[in-house]
Amino acid sequence: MITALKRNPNKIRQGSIIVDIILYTMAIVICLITLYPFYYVIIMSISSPQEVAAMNVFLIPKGFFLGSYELILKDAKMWWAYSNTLIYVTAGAVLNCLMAVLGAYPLTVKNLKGRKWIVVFLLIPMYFGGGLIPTYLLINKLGMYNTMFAVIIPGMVSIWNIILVRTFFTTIPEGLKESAFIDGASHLQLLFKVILPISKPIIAVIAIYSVVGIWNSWFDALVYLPNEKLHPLQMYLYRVVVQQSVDLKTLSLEDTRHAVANMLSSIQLKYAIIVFTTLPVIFTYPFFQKYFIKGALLGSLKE
Amino acid sequence: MKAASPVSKRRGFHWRDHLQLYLIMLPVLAHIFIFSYIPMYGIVIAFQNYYPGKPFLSFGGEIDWVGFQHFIDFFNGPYFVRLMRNTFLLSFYFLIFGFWVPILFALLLNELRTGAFKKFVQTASYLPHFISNVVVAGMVLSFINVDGIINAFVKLFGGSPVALNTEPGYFPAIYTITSIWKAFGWGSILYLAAMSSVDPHLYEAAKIDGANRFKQMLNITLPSIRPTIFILLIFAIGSLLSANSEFILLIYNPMVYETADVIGTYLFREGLLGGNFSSGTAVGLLVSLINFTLLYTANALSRKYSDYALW
Amino acid sequence: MKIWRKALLSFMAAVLVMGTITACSSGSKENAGEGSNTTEASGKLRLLGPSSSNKHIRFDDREKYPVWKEVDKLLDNAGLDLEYELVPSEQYDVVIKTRMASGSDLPDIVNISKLDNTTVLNLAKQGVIQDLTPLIEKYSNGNIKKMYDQEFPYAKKTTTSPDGKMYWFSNLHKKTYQGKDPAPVSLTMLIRKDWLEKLNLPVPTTAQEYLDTLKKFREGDANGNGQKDEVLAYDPGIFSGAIAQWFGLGTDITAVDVENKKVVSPWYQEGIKDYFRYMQQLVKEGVLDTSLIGAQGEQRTQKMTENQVGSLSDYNLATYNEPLIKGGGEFLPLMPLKAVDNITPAAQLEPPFLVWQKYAITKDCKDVEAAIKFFDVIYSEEYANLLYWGIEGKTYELDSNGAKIFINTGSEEEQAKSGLVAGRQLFGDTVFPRIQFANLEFELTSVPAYKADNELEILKYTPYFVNMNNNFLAIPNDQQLERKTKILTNLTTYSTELATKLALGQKSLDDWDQYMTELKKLGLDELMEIDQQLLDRYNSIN
Repeated sequence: MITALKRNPNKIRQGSIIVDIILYTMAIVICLITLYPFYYVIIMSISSPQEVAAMNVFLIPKGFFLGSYELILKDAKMWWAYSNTLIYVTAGAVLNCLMAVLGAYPLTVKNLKGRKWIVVFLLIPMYFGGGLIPTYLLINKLGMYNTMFAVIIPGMVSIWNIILVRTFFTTIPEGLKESAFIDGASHLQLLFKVILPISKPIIAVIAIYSVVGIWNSWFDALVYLPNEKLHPLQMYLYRVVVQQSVDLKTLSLEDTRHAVANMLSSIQLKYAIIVFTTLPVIFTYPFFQKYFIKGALLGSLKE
Repeated sequence: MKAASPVSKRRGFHWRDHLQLYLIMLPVLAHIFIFSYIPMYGIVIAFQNYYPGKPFLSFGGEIDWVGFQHFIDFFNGPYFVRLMRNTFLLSFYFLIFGFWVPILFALLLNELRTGAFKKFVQTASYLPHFISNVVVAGMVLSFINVDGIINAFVKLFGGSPVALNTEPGYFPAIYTITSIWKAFGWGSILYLAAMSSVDPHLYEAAKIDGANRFKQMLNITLPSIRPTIFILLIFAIGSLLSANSEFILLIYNPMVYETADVIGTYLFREGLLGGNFSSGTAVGLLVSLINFTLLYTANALSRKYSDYALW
Repeated sequence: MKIWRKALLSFMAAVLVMGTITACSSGSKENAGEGSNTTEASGKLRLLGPSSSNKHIRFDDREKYPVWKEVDKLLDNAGLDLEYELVPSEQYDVVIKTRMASGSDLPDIVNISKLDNTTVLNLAKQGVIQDLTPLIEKYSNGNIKKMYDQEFPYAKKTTTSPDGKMYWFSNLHKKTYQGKDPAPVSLTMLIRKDWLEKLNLPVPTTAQEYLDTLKKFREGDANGNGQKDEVLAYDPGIFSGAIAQWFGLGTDITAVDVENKKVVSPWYQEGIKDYFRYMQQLVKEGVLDTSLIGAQGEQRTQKMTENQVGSLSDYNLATYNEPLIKGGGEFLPLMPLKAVDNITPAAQLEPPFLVWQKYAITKDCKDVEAAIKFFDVIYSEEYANLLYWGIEGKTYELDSNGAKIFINTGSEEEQAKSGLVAGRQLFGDTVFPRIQFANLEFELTSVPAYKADNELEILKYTPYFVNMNNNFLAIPNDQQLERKTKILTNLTTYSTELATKLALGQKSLDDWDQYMTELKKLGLDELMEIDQQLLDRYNSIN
């Protein structure tokens, strides 16, 4: 694979320099546009709180203040939440990939009876749901309320992922499967021995979708985990945001005082929490990225 | 296991295959049945006046069945047309102006030569996906303010500042641009993954045939991601009535309701007054039905004309 | 065979992951305080409520606070053994809705403030929460009755449901001056006092002067940054900004005129057109910042910090705005200003008596007697004093006239260290109702003289509207509530949009009749009628 990679650029990439210049300029412009928000969050998180409240930090940090980070780093609950998130992400990503593959493969077999109905069966829940309370009742009946399972188990199957994997599987040449059957393989063998090894890119996609999706999720925790000790990291951000969106118009003088104090103390905290919670997951990306590179599958496609 | 099936003969399709395939799917189907289908009985509250604490189904007469009243009320409501139009238009603009951006971006990345730079651009492109709506909204609002950055540019080029956030005409553009910017990098991952399965030999062969980079892109790269494009397009059409109300809530105001108020934001305001469980479910059900119909139609059309379909 | 090994491996991995999770969750379930054993032992109660979001003073650390030790003593003396489940307040909304809806495994006493009246009454109808009246009759030592009947006679009016029963206990608050006079604070227009002085301007005494003053702030570059960016932060889409009351308007689409026992709507009031004309003037002169209309708190804070807000609508005794201003500043509260010849400007008041939040006893409560004992402790004077004032000599002292005055015990961080806090900071609004005997004396000592003067002047001011109209309406019955909810969603949207556009001059006052027709069509009259019925019933309950 590595040799293929190294060879490719020279062999197939010999366009004109001008095209290259245009492409690179475009890439750099896009880069600047998309890098900015994160840069903005970072400079907001280290500027002095009053400048942050004034929201006039745009290019360089104004003042210097690390108090928000200090508050976060000293907060034991934050680290507790970090380890919870790691558990949710690991378990969730593994289960999601496994279920996506298991769900997708049979749907690519043309002769499977009732295939259309299974697809429709899968699609309906993407559009129709029973709402908060019936789902809560179910989770409660299953004894998962206020346990980590409430976050992991319901989220382990993503219909969207199944469809993505299936779409990828359908691009695999039929010949590969035929030859495996001639060797007498079962479907499960075919799936794990032949199809999975050449499906690394889509598995990587599902993995990163799951990792990022679970990392950023808080809603299930909000509903099913009243116990703070089980909260994932993103609940922190959610709570800070809620504290800031209190409607002051409905409060009495006394309560307004407290709400305003609360709000001010967390204006900057929001930015620091975003930096603190997203940096790790951003750095997981390059790990998956190598599977998306053109020609990465050259070796495994050889028959 | 090997002994169980005859080695020499090419296999036909047996009940054993079916059994195997269904068994492979079983965990998935069971999960979906339990966690998605069982709670679906909750939909019945769309036809009742439900409040938490009431039973969903009972024969004791505690349930206040209202039939299609919530649907009729929504349909006859003064804002029905406006809500449907805004919800549709905002999703539609996003589809028209946003759908091809990740594709183009993935093609662009695919043409970049150096590994490290390419990786950097790609990572940078999906950063906006990680910034929470609240922060993005705060940023956008401070940019479009009368004394914000955008108006600073306008003034630089001799124009007079525009009140972008109070003029209904600008809202769709602000929403669409922000949404595209937030989503395209993340959306391109899928296309890149599809592109990576192309056999590099194809490019070499094309080069020998004298195809330039543009032609290679057109004839090799693009076809490789076509199934993905179609599937995503079908789903995009199947969500033409689902604008991102969570984000709209953060950047709209009564002056731009005319173009900004969507079903989701309307239901949110209704929820603040309490007791919208039933009408919210009814409206949600209506939207889902329309979306699902759109999906179904798009899929049927796609199967007929392009040979890519969900089923 | 290799595949099977792989499959087996991944299965094992999955099992391992599950194992970890099980271990974790079973470990932490104990911490959740969700003991499954039923509360049959006498005096034992489970309580569910939100925890405060305060970063320093936490309920978990209650044992180290002197005020808690006192409260604990009261609870012990009553023979109560309490077990708390506190959920982060930002999450409580969802948690309580789902828990109550499921109706199983409920705690004994629960804070249901986040549920609206209809939901609560439905829960009552389903028997999920208990009618308190017979329980009080049977078990109470008299504290509850004394508090409700003598100290807070208005409390029953807002908590008696249409069927005549009472399903929840409430926070009770009253603020008095010189021991007995009710002391409302007001919501009014604040104006930058230091800017007035800097530009040598007099305090405006009419609406016209007010407008001129704000113009002069801009022209004279009051904040000295070289730009004409001194603004008024005001939302014309709603009527709860204090300028609306200068024109004699109510504070919401329907508002209560307490003195005349009448429900009014600004849309029908005399000053409405003049109000919008005045708004249009403010907008035309560039004084009213249109970018702040409908904005989140953050945008307003931004302008405030940037030293650009010359005037805004807020509590007359508010002291939280000044510290925000970069470079400092002072806000002077204005008395209601004369705007139209034949209309006496009204004040907007926060009622001196407040009833809010809901605490209920659920059907799963086995030891009802203990539950009532708990509330007997809550509605005692000792508890009320500990809750609001804390401990004499530590958190409060008496001034020369015998009025209670808080002792400044520093920032919250310092308070958390020293433990010198009043009860409400530590446990108010959780599962412990707030019973507050506040006084104006302390408020006055904690603000600058010019704010105190305004407050003393406003005490006797009439006419007035109130900022919390619901405090004067009885609980609606099913039909009334259903109608109200239906009407309000569309009516609020229309009213807000219309008012905003009229103020901005995007809609013309010439088409007034058309707007009124539309408002009527959306149910404005019916809404007023329902609210009038509720107000009448409120007044008839005693």
